[in-house]
Amino acid sequence: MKAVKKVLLSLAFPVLMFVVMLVITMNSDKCFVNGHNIFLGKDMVKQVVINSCMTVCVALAIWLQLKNGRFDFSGGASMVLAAIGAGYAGQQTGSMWTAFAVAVALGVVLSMGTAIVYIVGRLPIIICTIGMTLLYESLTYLLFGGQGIRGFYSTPTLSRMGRMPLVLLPAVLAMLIFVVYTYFTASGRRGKILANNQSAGVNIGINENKNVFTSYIFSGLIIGMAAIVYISQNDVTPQSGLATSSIMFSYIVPVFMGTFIGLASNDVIGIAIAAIGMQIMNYGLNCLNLGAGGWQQIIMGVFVLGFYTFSSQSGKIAAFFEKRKAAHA
Amino acid sequence: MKTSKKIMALALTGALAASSVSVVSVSAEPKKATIGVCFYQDTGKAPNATKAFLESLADTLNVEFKYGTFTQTDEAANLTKVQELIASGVDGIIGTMDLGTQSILSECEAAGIYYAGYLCDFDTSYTTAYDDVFGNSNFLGTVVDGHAPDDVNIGDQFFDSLIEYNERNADAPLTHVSMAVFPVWAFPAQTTAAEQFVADVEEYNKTAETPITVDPLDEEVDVLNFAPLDSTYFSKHPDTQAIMSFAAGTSFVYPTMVSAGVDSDIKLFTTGADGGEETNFGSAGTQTYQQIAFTGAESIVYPLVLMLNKINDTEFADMPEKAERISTELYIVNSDEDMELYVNSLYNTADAANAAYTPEDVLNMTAFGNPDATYAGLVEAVQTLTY
Repeated sequence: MKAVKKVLLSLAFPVLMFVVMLVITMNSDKCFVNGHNIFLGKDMVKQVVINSCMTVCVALAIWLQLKNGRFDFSGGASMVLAAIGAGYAGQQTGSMWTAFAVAVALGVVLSMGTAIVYIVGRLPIIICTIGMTLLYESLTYLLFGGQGIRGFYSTPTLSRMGRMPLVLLPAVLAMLIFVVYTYFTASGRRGKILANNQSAGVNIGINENKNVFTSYIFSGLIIGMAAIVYISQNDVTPQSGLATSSIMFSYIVPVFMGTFIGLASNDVIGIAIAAIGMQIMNYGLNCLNLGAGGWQQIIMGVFVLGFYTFSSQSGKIAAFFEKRKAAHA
Repeated sequence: MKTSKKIMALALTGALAASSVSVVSVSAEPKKATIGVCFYQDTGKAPNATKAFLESLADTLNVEFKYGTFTQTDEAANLTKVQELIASGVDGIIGTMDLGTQSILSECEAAGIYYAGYLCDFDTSYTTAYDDVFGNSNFLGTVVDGHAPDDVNIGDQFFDSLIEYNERNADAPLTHVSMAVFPVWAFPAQTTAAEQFVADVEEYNKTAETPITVDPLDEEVDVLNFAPLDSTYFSKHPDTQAIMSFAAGTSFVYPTMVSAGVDSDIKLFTTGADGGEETNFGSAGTQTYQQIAFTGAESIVYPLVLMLNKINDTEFADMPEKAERISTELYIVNSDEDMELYVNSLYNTADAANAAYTPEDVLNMTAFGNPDATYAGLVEAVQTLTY
C-alpha cells in the first residue's frame, strides 16, 4: 500500500501537468489542425521522451556534485569538449560505439582534471570550476581546427543515441551510475555529511580528497552520457565566455524540482519524473505557439517560482491542513 | 541551376579573368596598411573563408589584417571593439553589423580612419540615418549578403529552385510547401521574399497542370525568434512536403527535422550554408537539402578595394559622390552539379587557392594598382560571383 502511494505521488506531477496542458490545448484553436488536437498527436510522446533523456543526463551530473556540496560550473565545458572529441572520433571511424566510448572516456578524464586542480590547488570550488570552464572552453577553439563538430547528428548511423529508442540507453545508464554511486559506494553515502558540514565531515574522519575523486569519476561518466546525447542532437561549435555553463544550467530546473518530487521515492526518480513533467509542459506551450520567446520565459519562470514556493512551504501547508482537520474533529 | 545561367556566369568569369591578366600594370607600390575586420561570429564558413582569402592578399596588397567579432545586440561592445582596433593602429575597419554605426563613425572620424561594411545591408542606417552614415566621408559603403531589402529577389530564386526540382522529379513533384522566416523587425527582406515566393507560385498555378499549395505564412508558427524551429511545426503543417526556409535553415530548421525524424520525408530549401549539408544534399544521403545559398567571401573586395584606394590617396574616376550599398548575387546551390562546385569552393574549403580572384586580380581592381580600374568594374566583380 505504501509502495502504491509512493508511485502515485511520484507520478502526480507529470500526470497533473498532462491534464492541465490537455485542458488548455483543448480550449485553444491554435492546437487544432484538421480537427485534431496536436497535443495528443503521436509526436508528443516521442518528443517528450527524447528531450527528457538529455535533461536527465545533465541534471544528474549537476545533482551528483551538488549533493556533495559542490556547485560545479565546469560540467558544461567538459560535456561540450567530450562531445567534440566523441563527434570527431565517430566521424573518423564511422562508428557510433567508438563515439560513445570516447565521450565516456573524455567525460571522466576532463572531470578528473577538474578534481585534481581542486584538490592540488586548494581553491574554492567556484573559482576552480570557473577557471576550468574557461580552460576547457578555450580548448574547443584549438581542437580540430576550431571548427567544432558539424553533421554528426545528421548522419543517421552515427546519431542513433539522439533518437528513439537508443536515446534511452545513455539516460538509463546515467541513472544507474547515479544510483550505484549514491547508494552503493561509501563515498556516495558520506557525501551528504560533507554537503551539510564539510569541516565536521573531515573531522570525523571522512577523506574529502577521496570523496572528490570518486564523485568526479562518477559525474564524469554521467557527463559522458550527456555528451553522446548532445552530439547526437546538435552541431557543436566552439564556446567561450562561460557559454557552456549556460548550456549546463539550462537543465537545472528539474534538479530542484526532482529533489522535492523525489521525497516520495528517491532523488533519481524525482529528477526523471520532473524532467518528463517539464517536457510535457514545454510541448504543450509549443502547441500553443508559446514555445519560445518572452511568454515562454514568463510562464516557465512563474511556474518554477510557484513550484519552489510550494515545495519550501509544504511543511506549513501540511500543518495548516492538519490543524483544520483537528479543529473539525 | 539552369544551364544558360551557368554558361553566362562562366563567360563573365572568363572575360574578367582575361581582362585582369591583360591590364595588370601596378603604378606604385601600395602603402603599408593595417585593416581591422570584425565578423558577426568568430568562427564559421563565412569568417573562415574570408580570413583565408584576405591572408592570401596580404603580401600583394601590403596589408596586415586584424580580426575581431561584433555582437548582434550590444552597441557598446561593438564600439569598444572599434576603439581597441583604433588603438592598435588600424587604418580602416570593415564591419559586418549595423549596430551603433553612427557612434562607430564618430570614433573613426576622430581617429582619421575609414569604415566600410561587408555581408550587411546597413538597412537601419540606410533608412533612418542615410546622410549621417552614407553621406559621411569616412564611410565607404557596404556590400550586402545577397540583394538589398529594397531589391529583394531571393523569393524568385526559391521558386526557381522548386520548379527545377519538380522538373527533375516529374514523377514525384513537390506540391505542398511551407515556409520559415526570421522576424520582420530583424530581417524585413525575408518576409518580402516569402511574399514574393507566394506570388510566384500563385502566378505559376494559373497555368500549371500540377498546382503547388503554399501554407500561408503564420506569424506564430513560421516566424523563428532566433530559436530552432518548434517541434510542433510538422503537426501544424501536416501536409508539407518541403520547407522554404528564408531563415538560416541549417542551424534553425534542419536540427528539428532530424530530431522529429522527418528529414527523410520532407525537403529543405534554405539560405545559408553552415557546413555538413553535402552529406544529405540533392541525391545524397537522406536527400533532405535541395537548396543552399551563400554569398562568396570574395565579395569583401568591394569594401577592401575602396578602403585601400583611400589609404593610398587614389580614387576611381567614376567614384559615386556618396557611399553605396551593393547587392550581390548569391551562389544558389540546387543540384548535384552545383554541390560539386560548392564542395571545392573557397567558401567551403577556406582554401584561398579556390578563390575566384587571385591577389593580382584584386590589385588590378584598385585605382593605385591599375590606373584604368573603375568603380563599375569593382561592382561587376562583386556581382558576378554566382553559379
